[in-house]
Amino acid sequence: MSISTDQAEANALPVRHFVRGKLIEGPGTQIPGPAGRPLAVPPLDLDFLVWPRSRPGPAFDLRVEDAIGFLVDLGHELSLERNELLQEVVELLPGVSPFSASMVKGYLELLPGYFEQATLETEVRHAIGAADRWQVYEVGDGAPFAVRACPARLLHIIAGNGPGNAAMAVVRGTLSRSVNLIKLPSNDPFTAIAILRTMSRMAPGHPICESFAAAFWQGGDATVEPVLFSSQYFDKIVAWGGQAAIRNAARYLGPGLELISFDPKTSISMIGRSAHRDDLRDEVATLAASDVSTQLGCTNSRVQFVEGSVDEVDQYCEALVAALQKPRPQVDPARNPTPEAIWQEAEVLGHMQPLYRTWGHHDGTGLVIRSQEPVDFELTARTVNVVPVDHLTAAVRWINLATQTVGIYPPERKAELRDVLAAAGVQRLVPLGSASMVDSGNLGRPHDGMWPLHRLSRWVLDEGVQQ
Amino acid sequence: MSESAKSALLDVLNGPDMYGATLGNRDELQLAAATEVAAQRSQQIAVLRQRMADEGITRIAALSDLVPLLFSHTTYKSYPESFVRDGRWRHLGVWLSALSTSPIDVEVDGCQDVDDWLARMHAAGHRVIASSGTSGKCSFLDASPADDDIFARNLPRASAWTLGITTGQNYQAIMVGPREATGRFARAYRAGEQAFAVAGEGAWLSRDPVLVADVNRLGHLRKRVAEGVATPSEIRDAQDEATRRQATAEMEYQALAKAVARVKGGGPAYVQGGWGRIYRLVTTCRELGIEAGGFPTGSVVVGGGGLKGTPVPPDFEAQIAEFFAPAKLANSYGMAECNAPWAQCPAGRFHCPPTTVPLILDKTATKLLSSPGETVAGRYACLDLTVDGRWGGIVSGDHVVAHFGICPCGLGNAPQISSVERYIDLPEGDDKLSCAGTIESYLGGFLADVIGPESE
Repeated sequence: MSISTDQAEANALPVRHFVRGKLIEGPGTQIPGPAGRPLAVPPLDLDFLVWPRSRPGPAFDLRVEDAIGFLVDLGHELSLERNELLQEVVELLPGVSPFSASMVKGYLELLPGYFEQATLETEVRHAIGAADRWQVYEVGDGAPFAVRACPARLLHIIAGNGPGNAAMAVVRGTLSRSVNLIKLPSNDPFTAIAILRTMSRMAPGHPICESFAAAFWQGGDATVEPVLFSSQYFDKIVAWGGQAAIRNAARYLGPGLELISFDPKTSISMIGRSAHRDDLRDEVATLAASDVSTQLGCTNSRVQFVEGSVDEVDQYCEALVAALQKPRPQVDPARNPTPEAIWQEAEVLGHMQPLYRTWGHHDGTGLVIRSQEPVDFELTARTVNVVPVDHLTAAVRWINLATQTVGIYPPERKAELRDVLAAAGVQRLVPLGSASMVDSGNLGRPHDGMWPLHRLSRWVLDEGVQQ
Repeated sequence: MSESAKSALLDVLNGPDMYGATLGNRDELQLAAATEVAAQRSQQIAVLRQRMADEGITRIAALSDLVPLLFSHTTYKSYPESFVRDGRWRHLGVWLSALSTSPIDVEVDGCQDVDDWLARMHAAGHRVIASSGTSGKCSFLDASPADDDIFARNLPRASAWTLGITTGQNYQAIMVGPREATGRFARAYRAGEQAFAVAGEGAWLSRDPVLVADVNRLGHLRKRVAEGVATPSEIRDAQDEATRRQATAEMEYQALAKAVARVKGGGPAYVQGGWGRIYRLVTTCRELGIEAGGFPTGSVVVGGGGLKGTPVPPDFEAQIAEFFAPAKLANSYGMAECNAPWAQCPAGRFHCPPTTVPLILDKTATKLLSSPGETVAGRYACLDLTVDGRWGGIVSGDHVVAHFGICPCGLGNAPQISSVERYIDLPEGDDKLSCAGTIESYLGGFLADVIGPESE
């Protein structure tokens, strides 16, 4: 007896692999799933998951404008209304994640936004310029040389806490024209497969289709990872989150195999004194609540530093909890109640007025904890920690490498704060209310302090070329 | 039945056969006692009173009414770490009083550190239990002298019941742990020594006090690393300190192993400790060439607790039994939050003490699964009716298989548990990946690499 009765009743969810246009499905080994229902995983043939180094990848010579064109066409095919493969994700994903079907729908409806021509062109222009082909440069009086952003061999370990993660891996893998193996996460083994199947149906045998494989194995599987995580097959492991995954991947690094890590992060808000004006308070609270979102993602705000007296901040907290309680798309409180470990801590703190005060409920609709300094525990499920400060700069001591996005109100305050925040580790400042990146991922902009497409490429130099 | 229900159950606990007694009206008595205890505690404990109001529960009419009222281990470490770090003892007292049955009016002026605070609390009748977690943050549970007394009395009685022996200072005792520590396990060892050791004196792994401040030191370092202010030399000092501790521990195990060799010649031996530590002692004995077996007739090994921080093979119990042969092994199931443990019967199951109301819940601890006559698997929770200094309703992190019928051993009609696993150890799809994470996830690996795993 090793699983609880509430898990044993459920049916297994079918996991599939998709390798260079070929779907691998069928009965498989049952393993425990992340949300109660087990997963059935078909056998994996490692030989199909790699591209031999003896030959260039199928899309290595593709022009980047053709890759963009391909993605734009793919975006058109990824309309949830018309695409039954995505519709199936709506059914399956709630079985492995905290998302309800309507939340999944909401996310999938945003997918075409990742495939828009202008966004993709911006991403390419900023990250590699025109260097998908050889570009000739001259430095001073020296001999001219040529540079090209060459495709690479990529192993993506993607995060499963939003279907957009799979889309981003496909988009950046395609723009770099690399070969790409996607390691599917247990909390979303479905979206990447649906996108690749759509791609393959749209253009069977296309070099880009031939450049992608997606497969599921349990993270850390000793029969898979020591073999695959090797410079024999890949240049770069691209880890899109998950600290255990990043630490695990790091064990295999060595000459010829590097790690590109999108480290796990959380986000915060910084709210200036003007929020306490009676005519602004509710509006500011609404913006702040929008940045809280589901608190499943890295862009979601967990701690809000608010300038003002405790009384002013308490009034703001009341407005905030009211704003959190308003229904919003992509948030389903019933799927995501506050974990016991969090609310039981909050409950005791609530008895320590005036040092601490709490508002709201632990049913997932919103719980606000006001404290003198950030609380010690991790905040999820719409549990927001509000910390009064005399001046926003006083919050800097609690900002670190793991702080991703800072939503600031009023937005004019960003100018005075951005250098000090950047120095403390922050990587993205936005006006309060704009923390979510769901419209187009963050394509065309830096991500985690880098231009990812730039790092996915291998920058090769040809010296002594003719003008 | 109200006042008599709890005392009737206490009488059974204090009686000659608390684990093997057959109680015709066990369920009714337990419900009546739960009703009585909850009513009393809700008058005394602010957090419980508020919880009952929030949940709309005015009295316990059925065991399921207890489920929303249970506290978890996080409740008892919900104080902000800065209270301890910055010596805000008055605030820590305010925090603890929200969870206590008696007001906390303890002088904290000039309090030096957390151990000083605990000593002052203790002197004032609050026998606060401080137990270290893997996070480096201690939980603090208020306990009254009555709690301490019931706890200290019942663990030796549970081992005696399992082993079919009587308590009495008849054994050469090997105590595999520190004698002085604030964790409840150390209290249990001292109670075992008192109950069984010749002249109440055993050989100890260590007599140096284990201070809460030592546990907290790592917590402070974590904080300083998170804030980006820890210097490399500070981290190197912590590393050196960890190396020193390991060397000291190695010497302590070797010294105790020599004591183990010596008991072979005398009267029956009594070995007590956590299973992980006992296994390490066996390993050290073997390394020193002490042969397995040949221990005096009537020897016993009393183990317990988790395996926290100690790597052991799956057959560790068999290896321990083989080494200490022909000693009999006794196991029990309990937790720092509860007073009387469950004791192992001849059929290998743990029997519930009469004063514990077991509640088997679903994984999320929101639904009661257990009912009379059934076998059920789920999260272990209980109301310990004897808990006096705080609320006795607690949810554990353990997944258990529980039986609410007659045990195959045929002794009495207490509920039984036949399997215990920690939820944290169960396979749950560990490669669920998320882009969200805090600085804590950066530090865990770093500090583990530099200092090594944290242990009890």
